[in-house]
Amino acid sequence: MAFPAHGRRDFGKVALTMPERDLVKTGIAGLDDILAGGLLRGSVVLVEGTAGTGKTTLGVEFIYRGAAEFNEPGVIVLFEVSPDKLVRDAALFGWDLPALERAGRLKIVFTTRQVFQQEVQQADSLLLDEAAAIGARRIFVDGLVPRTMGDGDTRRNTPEAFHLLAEGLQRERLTAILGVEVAGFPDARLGASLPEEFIADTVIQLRTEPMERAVQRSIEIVKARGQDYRMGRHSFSIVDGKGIEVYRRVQAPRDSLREEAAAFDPSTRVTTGVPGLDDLMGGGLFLGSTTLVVGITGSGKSVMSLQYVAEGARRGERSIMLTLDEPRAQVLRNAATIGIDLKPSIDKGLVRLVYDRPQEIEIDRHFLELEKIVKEFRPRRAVIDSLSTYGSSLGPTGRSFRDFFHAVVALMKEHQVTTLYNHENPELLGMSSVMGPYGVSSLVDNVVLLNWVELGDTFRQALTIAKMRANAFDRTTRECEIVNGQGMRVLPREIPPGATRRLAFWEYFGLVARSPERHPPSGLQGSRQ
Amino acid sequence: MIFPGRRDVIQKILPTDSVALQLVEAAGLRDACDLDLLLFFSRHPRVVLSSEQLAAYVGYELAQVARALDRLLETGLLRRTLNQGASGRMYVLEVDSAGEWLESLRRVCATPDGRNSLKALLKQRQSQNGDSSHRGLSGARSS
Repeated sequence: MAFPAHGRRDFGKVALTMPERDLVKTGIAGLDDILAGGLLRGSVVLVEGTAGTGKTTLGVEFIYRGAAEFNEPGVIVLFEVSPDKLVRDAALFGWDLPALERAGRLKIVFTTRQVFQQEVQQADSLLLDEAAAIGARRIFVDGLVPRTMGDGDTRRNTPEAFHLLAEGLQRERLTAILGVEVAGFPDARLGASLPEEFIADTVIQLRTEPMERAVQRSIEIVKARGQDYRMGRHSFSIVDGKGIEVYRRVQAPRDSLREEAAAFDPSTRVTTGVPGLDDLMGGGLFLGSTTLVVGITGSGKSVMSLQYVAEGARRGERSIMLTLDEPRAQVLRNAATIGIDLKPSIDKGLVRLVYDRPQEIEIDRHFLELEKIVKEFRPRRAVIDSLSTYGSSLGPTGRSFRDFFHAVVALMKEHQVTTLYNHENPELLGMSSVMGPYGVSSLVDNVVLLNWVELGDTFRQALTIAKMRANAFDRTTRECEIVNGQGMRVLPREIPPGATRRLAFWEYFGLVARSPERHPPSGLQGSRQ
Repeated sequence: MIFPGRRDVIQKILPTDSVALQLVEAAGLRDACDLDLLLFFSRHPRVVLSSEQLAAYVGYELAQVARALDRLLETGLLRRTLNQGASGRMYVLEVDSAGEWLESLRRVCATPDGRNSLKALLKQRQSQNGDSSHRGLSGARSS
């Protein structure tokens, strides 16, 4: 549900002033973002989940952050977990609950569901008196049971019992999080919602979802009365020493500025650092453009990337290299073999190497970190090495890979980062498809193919620019070579006389089509033009 | 877990265990129900429960818990707030007024052996004093 923006609005000649929303920041990293700022004050929020999904942690952090960071004292009501265990577990996150209690900012109350139900309904409730004594603005009630909210007596399992509970909390103007244990979530399409969900202002569902053999946590706001929120399942982690970190799902709608910035600058070129390549491109890549570099392993993708980054450093431009394939030390070693010492550029803050292990990658967290780096480091150049590894982690089917790639491309364009995306094509000789099952090549501005071609008894390296948006470019397949200590270079089309006894690529056709044949002597002159 | 014969050993050494004696004296404990109730409140310093629920949580008869509650309330260590018309009463353990002995008591009772040692000491003191005003461990423990 998306409400119109609040504030002053005109309806004809009558000016109406809409009240500003009083939002309560949860303080939980990332959660306020997907709640579009926080919870409406006085809301009754159901946090549903099966055992171990993080309901208690979320509720306790809500209270802790309120008391410690927002000057909003709070009350925690427990039915099953003993307070001393809660205090012990909270300490793992660095939350000193006893200190807050001593400071009169927190009260932890242990009771039963039956007593709690009676208490909240009473005007002179002991429990609510305790809350009022410290000026509590927040309350977390842990361990409610659906359809037995209140006293657990099945004879009184009515939505009215929960309604009374919600009324009692609202009367005290407490922003309440109620942790609700559920056995599982019904299929939303069947409409089998809990009656309590209709009464609550906000409903948040926590899940642990299998990802192959791993498990990923997700959080979904399924209802938030009177406020906007980001729909869909976002992932989250429970991090030792910190608490909950929510990562907005990669697929979430982007900032409109990002879409507006999608057009690259057609007047500024970014040099590749590969001798001969810029000439084929008419001077280099366009600033902010997206380039796919495709080739089988060993065809020179990483070498080209390293030269691209080194070229940036040479020009004083910041670059990031995000790699899933090779850890930082390996990247540095690879660079050294082609005569590039990245360490001084890293020390100067011109190059940042970012490595994330591809196994069990949490794509929402990963993207959020990338977004943070791009915003803070503000690179002009970037290398993503490689898309195929993302594909292996996320799977070619489904939307995860495609949505992630869309989001990264949009992010880089918004910040005008000229980016190379390496993709490993499995074909040894030639190429019949640019990206195989990952049909995203239409998103990119430029495509560079790196191929092996077999001529005589030799594999020779070929480079073809297959696509370059909004630019006239050289479409010939050119030979390139990688020399130890020097790196990659694109060879001239004409091999200088006496330089080598082998034939130049232009003397063949069908190189990329895997069936190279020499042009007949009579056709040589024509084909060179 | 207490192995066969271990209980006797514990009972023999407890009267000379000055730490245990100091703890029992500091807390004003007279029987096992006192101890378990105090430990319950140390784990749950602020509760809203009916008397019956409280007795069920600590595992003693209602009358026994009522006597132990009275003693804790008399020491000022526990504060109780009644609410007319509601079964729940709020109990708040005044942790700050307990001093360091409460933490020591918790540490001793953090293991089954430690807790059983103190209970054995309390039982022995009861029999030595011939205290018949309350039943302590000889009462009808529900467990």
